[in-house]
Order: sequence, then structure tokens, then C-alpha cells
Amino acid sequence: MPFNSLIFLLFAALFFIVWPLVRHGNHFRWIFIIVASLVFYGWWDWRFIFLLTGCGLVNFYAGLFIQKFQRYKKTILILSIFGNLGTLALFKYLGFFTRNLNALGLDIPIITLALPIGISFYSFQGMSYVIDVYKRVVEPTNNFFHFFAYLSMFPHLIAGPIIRPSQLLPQLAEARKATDPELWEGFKLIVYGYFKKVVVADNLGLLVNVAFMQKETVESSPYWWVIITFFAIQIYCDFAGYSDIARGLAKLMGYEFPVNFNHPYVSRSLQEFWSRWHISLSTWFRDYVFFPLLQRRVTPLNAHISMGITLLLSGLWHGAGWTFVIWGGLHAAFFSIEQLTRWPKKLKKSGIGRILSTIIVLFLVWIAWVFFRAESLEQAVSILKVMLNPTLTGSCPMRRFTIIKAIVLFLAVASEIAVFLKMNEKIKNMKYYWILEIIFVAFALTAVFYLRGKVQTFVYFQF
Amino acid sequence: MLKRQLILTALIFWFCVLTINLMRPPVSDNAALTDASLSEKMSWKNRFDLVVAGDSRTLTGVSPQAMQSVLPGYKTGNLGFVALVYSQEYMDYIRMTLRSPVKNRVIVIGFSPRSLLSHEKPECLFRKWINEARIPLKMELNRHSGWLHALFRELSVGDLNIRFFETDRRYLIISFKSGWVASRLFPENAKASRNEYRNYFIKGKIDGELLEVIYRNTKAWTREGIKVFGIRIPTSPGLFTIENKMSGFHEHRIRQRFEKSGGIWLNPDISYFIAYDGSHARYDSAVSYSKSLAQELRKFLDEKR
Repeated sequence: MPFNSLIFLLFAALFFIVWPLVRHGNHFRWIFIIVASLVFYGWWDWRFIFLLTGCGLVNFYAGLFIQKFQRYKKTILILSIFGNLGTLALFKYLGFFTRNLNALGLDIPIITLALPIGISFYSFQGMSYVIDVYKRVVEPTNNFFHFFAYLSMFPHLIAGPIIRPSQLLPQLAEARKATDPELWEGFKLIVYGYFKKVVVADNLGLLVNVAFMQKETVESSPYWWVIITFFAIQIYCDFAGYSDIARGLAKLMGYEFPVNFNHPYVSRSLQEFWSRWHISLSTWFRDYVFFPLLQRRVTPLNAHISMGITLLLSGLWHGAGWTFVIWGGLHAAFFSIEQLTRWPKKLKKSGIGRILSTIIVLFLVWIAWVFFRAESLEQAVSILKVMLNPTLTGSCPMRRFTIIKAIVLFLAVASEIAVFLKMNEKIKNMKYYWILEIIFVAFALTAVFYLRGKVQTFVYFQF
Repeated sequence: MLKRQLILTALIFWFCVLTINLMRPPVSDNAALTDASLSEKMSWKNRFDLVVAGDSRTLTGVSPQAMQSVLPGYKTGNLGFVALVYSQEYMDYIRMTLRSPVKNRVIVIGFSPRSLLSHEKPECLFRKWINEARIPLKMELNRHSGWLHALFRELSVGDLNIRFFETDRRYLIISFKSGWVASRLFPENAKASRNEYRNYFIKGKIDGELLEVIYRNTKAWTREGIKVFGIRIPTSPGLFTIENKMSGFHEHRIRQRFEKSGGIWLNPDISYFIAYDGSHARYDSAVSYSKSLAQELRKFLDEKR
């Protein structure tokens, strides 16, 4: 059940009524989290519960066996990774691979299976557990309920953040009670998360969807810049909104999830962008793909190659399509150029230079978003051609851009500018900030009800 | 501290809720129930002898009660949905609502150009209802949460327009259990929808694939013994002209293909038809149109039912 549904609100209400009664005993707590999470997950399609349980069993026993049979620990690790990636490949990439093999002249029947929601997230979380046990970063848990509560915990199950075992397993082993400030913080995060999702992302998403649904690309450069800007805000608010709600729910339970988005659009370099965007995934790729690749041979060339492979894989993780691979490839290329030329450092020296750095980062990220969002490679190329050709300035058929969307857009942009100018820090230090904060939360809550856009699923559910 | 924070937040929130509900233009009490009634439609299975399908024009323009007064032996349902775009899923839904055995049951397809535009698919709310109908508990929640919808109905541009610019404008919307949503607007404005529809047709034309879905199902249904009829749901003369010129809706060709698939095209009398906003039928006009449609249907249906 998606967070932005009435049924989820009922589910969450029931969960938090029962939670104080069960949180004291380890087994009660874990089993309650598991049952609630399976109901939450099975609401989409009950058959996928078996897949989630299978993933849990494979990774739980892989962790145990690695500890027990040290001689074969590498084989066990490889087998478990094979199991996780194999399942992911079967459900997510089989159609993509067969289509591409057929394009090379083979004649294989194309089989596309229904993509189990959240599979990319929980299979990566499962792998991180086994790898960390292998590297002795964490001790494996002997209790399946403990492990499965960590893997399936509903706030992060569908769209992350991808939480490392060292971050959550110890927390789950304790009977935690959220303090009053934690409860308020959790409530605030949930309200802001819903605001980002249903007010900003859903309102702008409609305009973006209509633009990309058209068979013919609109021949207007300003139109596409506006649409890609809307998409950039939409995907950020959609995903960051989900992460905020997930973190807020965890806080209400007394747990701490890591920050997943830290205002990525105020970045002054691509390196900074990737340290602020989908942090749990980028650090996952950094620790489990980039570092192992780099450690094989520490040379500047290998660093570029490793970064390229990591970002290409990150692109493929987002979707089984060439547009996603190119999105990753573009980021890899931009990143390498940045490392070679060190342009952010040169621009950092002056105030205008710092603003220019952010504008350059946004420009590059926007260009890459075109591939990320486009329905096909052809569409992405034709949109880019229009965007980068300033002589084409046709009409902007933005018929659904209403005053309400303008208000929403203003709020989204203004809050990011406040962060960019570090005004949020000044506001937080004001004497009566707590009153201001209450007013913000109450207004955001009102906006969630009255300025909400048409219901759309979270963008990152498809991954 | 937490208590104080939550109480203050709740107070400000409810103040905003009250202000918005007092400020926003009044709607009939039943308007908010429309969502609940659309949700209820999704639970209709094995229920009707005669159904009329289509988008919001069917929803507002066809009164099953009026049709039943002419065809008393036929339990009739209005399957219209707001912003519907024809799809196989919708066709399956139509078929599902017919009472078994389906032989001699009746389906009337309401053709309107907007329901055949593929670029309108993202706007099609029918998907939302399909998703919700998959889980009975969700359906029950929707059906019983009309008051919540009323209280928290989102602010629309229409609301703002009516409140600040067109202060004498009022909608009346009444949902009936048969699926019909009777409506009217004060004051009427026959030109109100023209620009909106012009924009739809600038952005896209009639999608042949969507028409094929209708033809294919018509063929299959007639093979099963279901009587399938087609009508062009009426609208104002101004909009009718715009649709003919801009949408690519070639009625003659569509009619030919529809009839070739086994359907029967009807042309009920629409001389008295009034669209309050240029697109949708005023409730009294809908009653007259429905009777006229039923009279046309009667010519082809078995009187002895």
C-alpha cells in the first residue's frame, strides 16, 4: 500500500496503536514488524511475499554459513550475491536482455515478468548484510525474526533508504521508546514528506507526464527547459518525500534512518551532488562496487574506469533500459571531466563563481534527466536537440499550468534557495523558531489536503 | 512540549480547514459523494440488463431511471466515468456488469472524441478506480468516506475562479445509485468548455487503436449474443463543430466500422438538448435524451422480456 493512500493512514494508525504494547519484548517486536510489513507489502500483490521471504532466507543463512564455514565463506558470498542478482535479473532485466539479444539477430521469445515492487531495494539491502558479514563489519544475527524485521521493515521496504545492517540491526535489538523531541521530529518529517510528494511532485508530475506522452516532440526550447526543471523538482520531491515519510515513521517507532537526500540541487560540483542525492544508494555503490574495483589497482585511470562502471551500473539499477544506462554514462563522463579539469575548485574562489558552479551542475544534471525520464532514446535525443537549439522558440503549450501549480512551484524553489543562501540556519536560530515551525507544519499539513495533485505512485517504486 | 506543539499544530490546521470550507464556493451536499458513487460503480458485477458506457458526458447525460420508464423490463445502469479514455480494462468492466446469461443483454457505447484521445490516458481516472477495486476493503472505505472527501476536497482553479471572479456561479451535482450524476450550472454558459476542448484536440487526435479496442469487443460481444449499440453522446452545437473539425472524429467512418463489427448505430432525437457548460447535459435535458435513446433502443429490443 502506498504511503499516499487512505488505507495506509489507517494501517499506520493501527500499527502505532499496537506498537507500544509489543515493542518491549524482542520477539514480539520483530514478529509484529514482520507481520505488519508483510501486510503492507502483500497489499500490492500477495504472491510477492514469497519472493521477499525467499530473499530473506537466502541472505540470513548466507550470513550464518559465512560465520560457521569460514573456509567456504567466499563461495557462500558469491552464491548469495548470485541468488540476489539472479532474482533481480530474472524479474527486472530478462525482457531487456532478450530484446537486446534479438536486436543482435537472435530469435529468443521475449519474457517480461511483473516487477515485484521494491525488489531493487530489498535485494541490495540483503546483499549489504551478507557482504558486511563477510567483511566482518557486522556479526550475523542468529535470529531469523531479527534479520527479517531488518530486511522487511515497512517504512524502508519499498523505496529505501537502503539501510546498512550496522545501522539498523543493533537498533532493532533494543526496546526503544521515542522521546518527545523524536516524536515531534518524526511527525514533522512525515508532514514535510507528504507535502513534497502530494503537493509538489504530484502537481508538477502531471505536466511532465503530458509533455512526455506526446508522440511528436514540441518544438520549443523554453518549453522543454521548463518541463525538465519540473521533472527535476518532481523526482527530487517524490523520492525525498518518500524518504522523509520513511524516516518519520521510523522515528515514531524510536529508530533512526539515515538522511537520504540533502538538498542536492544546491551542489557546487557533481561530486557534491552525488554526496547529497540518494545518499544510501550512492554510498552502497561506493562501498560495494567502486572501492573494490579501485582497490584492484589504484591509478588515476582505474579511478575513472571504476567510477564509470559504478555509475553505469547505478543507471542500470534504476531501470532496464538504455536511457537509464546513458543517464549513468553521462554522469560518469561529467564526473571524469570534473575530476580532470577541477573546474569547481577554480570557480569556488569568488561568490559569482560559486553561483556559476551551481548553475553548471544543474545544467549537467538537467541534461542527464532528459534520458532518465524519456520514454525512448529517440525521444531523449529529439528533446535534447530542441533544448540545445535556442533558435527554436515555438509556443509553450502548458495548458495545465495553473495558479495552484505556480504557488507550489514557488514554495519548492523558495525553500531550496533558502537552503542555498543558508537562510534556514538563521531562521532556526531565531528566538521564537518553535512557533514558526508549528505554523510551517500546520500550513504544510493543510496544503497536503487542499493543494494536493492528482494521485500518482511514487516514481522510485518502479525501481 | 510535544503536547503543546501538537495541540497548536492541530488548532492552526483546523482553523485553516474551517476557513477554507467557509470561503470556498458552496456545492450541493451530494457533490462530494460523486467519488464515493464512482467507487461503488466498480463493485457492480452481474447486475444490469442494459448499460450505457462512456465518459463524463454519459455520466451526466444518461438517466437510467428515465430509460427504464420506457424500457421497464431492462434494469439499466450508467457506467460513465469522469475523464474516461476507452481501454480494454474498461471494456472488461462493461462486460462484467451485465447479468448472466448475457444473451440479449444490451450495451450502449457512448462515443465522444475526448474519450478516444490517447494522450488523455494519464488523465484517465478509471485506472484509479480499477486499482482501488482490486481490494474490497479499499472499496468499502471509499464508499463510506464521502463526508471526508467533502471536508478535504482539494482546492481547484475552478473554486478560486468562482470565489473571486465569477461569484454568481453555482454547480448542482446529485449522484444517483443507478450511476447517473445529474448536474447543472448557474448561470449556464454554452461557450465555457470550448477553449478547453480546442486544447485537447491541438495536442492530439482520435487514436485508431482505441477505436479498434471498441470494434474488437463489439465483435466479441455480438458473438456472445449481446446487443451492442453505438451513439454519439450529444453536446452543444458549438462544441460539436469544434470536435468535427479538430479531433479527427469522422462519425461516418466510425459508424461504418462499428456496424461492420456487429454494432447498431443509433441517432436519438437531440433537438431539445441543452449543455449547461457547452459540453455536459443539463439534468432535465439528460432525462429527455435518455427517454429518446430508450425509444430508439426499443425498436431493436424484445418487448416480451
